[in-house]
Amino acid sequence: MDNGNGYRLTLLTAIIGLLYIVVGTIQEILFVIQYPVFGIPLDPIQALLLLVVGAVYLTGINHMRIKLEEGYAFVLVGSILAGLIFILQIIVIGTNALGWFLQLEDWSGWTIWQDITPSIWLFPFAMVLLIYAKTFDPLKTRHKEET
Amino acid sequence: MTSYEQSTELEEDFIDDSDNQIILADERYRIIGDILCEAYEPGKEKWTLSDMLDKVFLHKYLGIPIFLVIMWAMFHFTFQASVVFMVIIQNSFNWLGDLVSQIPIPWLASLLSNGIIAGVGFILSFVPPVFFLYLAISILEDTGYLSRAAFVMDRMMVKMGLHGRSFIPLLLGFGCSVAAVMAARTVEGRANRYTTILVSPLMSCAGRLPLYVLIAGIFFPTIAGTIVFLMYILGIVMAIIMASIFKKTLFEEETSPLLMELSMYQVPTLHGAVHHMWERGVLFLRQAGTYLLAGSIVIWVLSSFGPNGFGVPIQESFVSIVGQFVQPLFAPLGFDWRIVVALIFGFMAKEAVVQSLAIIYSVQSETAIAASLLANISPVTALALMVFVLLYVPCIATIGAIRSETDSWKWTALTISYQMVLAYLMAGLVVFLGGIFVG
Amino acid sequence: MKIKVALIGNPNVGKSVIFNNLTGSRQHTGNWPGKTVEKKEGYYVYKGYEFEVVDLPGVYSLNALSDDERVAREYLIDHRPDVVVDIVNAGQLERNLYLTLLLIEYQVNLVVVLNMQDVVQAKGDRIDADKLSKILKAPVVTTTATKKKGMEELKKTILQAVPVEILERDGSGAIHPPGDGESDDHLHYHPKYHHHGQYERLKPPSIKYDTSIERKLKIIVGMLEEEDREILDRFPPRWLALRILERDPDILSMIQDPALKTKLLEVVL
Repeated sequence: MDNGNGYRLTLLTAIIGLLYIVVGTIQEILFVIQYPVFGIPLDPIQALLLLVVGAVYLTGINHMRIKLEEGYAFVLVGSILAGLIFILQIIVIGTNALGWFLQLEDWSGWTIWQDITPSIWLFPFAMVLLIYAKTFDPLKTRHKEET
Repeated sequence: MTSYEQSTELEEDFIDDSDNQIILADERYRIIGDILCEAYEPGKEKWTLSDMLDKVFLHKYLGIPIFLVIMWAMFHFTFQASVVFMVIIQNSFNWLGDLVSQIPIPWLASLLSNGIIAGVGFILSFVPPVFFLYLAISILEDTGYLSRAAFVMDRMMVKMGLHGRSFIPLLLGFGCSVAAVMAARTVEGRANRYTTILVSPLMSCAGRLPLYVLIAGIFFPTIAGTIVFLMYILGIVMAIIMASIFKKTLFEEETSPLLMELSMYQVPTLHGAVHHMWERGVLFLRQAGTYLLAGSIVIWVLSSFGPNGFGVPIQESFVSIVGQFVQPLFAPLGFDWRIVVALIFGFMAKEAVVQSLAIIYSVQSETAIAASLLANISPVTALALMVFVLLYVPCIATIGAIRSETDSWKWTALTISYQMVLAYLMAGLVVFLGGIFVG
Repeated sequence: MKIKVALIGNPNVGKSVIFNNLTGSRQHTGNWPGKTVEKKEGYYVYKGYEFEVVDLPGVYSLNALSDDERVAREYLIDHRPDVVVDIVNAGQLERNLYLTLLLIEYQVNLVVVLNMQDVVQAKGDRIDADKLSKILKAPVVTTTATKKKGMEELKKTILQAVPVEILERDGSGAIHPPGDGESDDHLHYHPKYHHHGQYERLKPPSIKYDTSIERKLKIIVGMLEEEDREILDRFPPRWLALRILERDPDILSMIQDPALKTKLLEVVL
């Protein structure tokens, strides 16, 4: 039953993985040339995290070719990690907003735009693609295959 | 008491005769094998969610990068989520400090505002990061990921000649080095156990967190979480390197690969996580309330009094005299006498480093520690200070634990001295590299 | 008179869930004396009998190396619960049975709980509980604690596992006549070390080790019978011999006579 669904998931996983890799690489380059761009602050470590997330997705592709289910695991973990750094950045924005709201000295010049990082905008994008593939939950698919 | 001595006397024999234990354990596993043969029938291989996750979390190449991502996320969260609350607490103590400095008795006003509030109040502002760090650690533990982390590290550690089980006590060292030293009991084999004890003070304990948070926040505000993360990683790396050196030089014993049970992943419960966080956080509070309070009074007395009595300029106080005396030793690292004094007090408890700096600066000029630090030391020196505090002598409580667990002053002395040398060398390296890159 | 039940098992086997299911809200927590290990106690009533349940810390073995292990071991030895419930993660039988074998060495009234049955079924494994029960000579109950399945069965089995003489005692009169240690009747727990203040009839070990090991155990027990009756009164003899074979520092430090100790240490496998 390795049907079009699996093929579509493979393709979308590849897109997500490459996206994280490319953005991570761009962020590293921007750091080296010290040129911040809107939405991509200069943070070499964050860039490394994006590269790791991308690598997890892309490793999944390799496994999907052999056995589809094994590939799901990588997509799942990749999404967990992407979600983790996404949620963390949301928390960061939340606490900064709190500081700004309380009018604390250090937050007087804060605007939400400073805290927009690739981990924020890449994750919803990845999720939309995965939901589109409709095979995000591997257990569900397996049920479908069994019945 | 006599019974205790007898048992240590026999220690040599235990080591030689551990064969008996192995034979008995083998016998038990043989019986279990027989039982399973009769009463257990494995089903067809089926993928569970746990198996799926393990496939990736324990991946040959991705395992360690994923571990690092999760660790980074933990420290980033700890720092970023707490910074607002820290500022709020600091502001309230500043307000309180201004209030008590109105007291008409000068020495009392100074003791309260420059001693107790500047010291203990300052340390209390680090309660949020300590709570958040424990929250993150207990969530990771409850999900079952932490044992995977030990497993992933095991592969690397066995290559370095270390026992993978050592990693679990070392992880406990993130909380408190004393806990790590005690937990080293669960490590099998004398050589493994002793190496674990020797290196566990290198893991960053909660007591060192305030200094990291302070320095990283002042000197590297945009990447503070990352800097804190790197300090923890440096601790792990140094622990692994030192352990493999000790293992190869001091002991001759084979290491066996880690056999451990990886339970299923679980969704952590809020109750469990908050419970852990509360327990550990209260411990920190209790320390702040007891001997850090006493310590702050001592430091205040030593920095407000000199041979000529109360109210002398800080340069003529007792702390300054002591600090100036020892300072030349640390001149190559760029540490001034205030830092040197803080490091001396840090020997009592690592929290005291930050606390004494806060008091000394407060007594000296009534300015906030952040501004004084920025004015007095360079970012490179600040980094060197963090590295030094990470690696230098364990605090008194840890020394006590090492002494009682190894039951020997020789090992204890070895721990203290190697850490001192290591700290000096690594901090020196930071200064050296900083000199090259920053110019 | 309350019936004392101890829960024990490896970490992460759902022990706390079973404890909560059994006792409901009737529990209180504290610390074990002098230890940083949490102590949970609870009560429940079943068929008119009152049960006092102690939740021992999760352990893989009972070597007294860690505080957790020490607490569990001291409780089993010093408090002699009437029933010991060994909670086993049915999904990881091999690892979990190790503790079960150690508990058999304690010669207690054992009830084995195969918990997390749902996981086993999901994996498609099959465990023959009857056969397991026959091998271990102890009742085996299968449960899924998270779904509260098997709890009534567990309560019933615990009650059945309580020796009749304990159920019938009303606080007066001897449980057992003082034993003399003859034949297979392990009547060795001396009243002054037992919380009942009575001799306890030790359950014969249901699993014996290889004859070469059992022979060594008999030699050690024999030596102790001749030279240190005192310590034999305090512990199950075979358990004691096993600890001496394993060079258990706590036990060895209790043997006062250095000559005897040297002799004991000469027995090797």
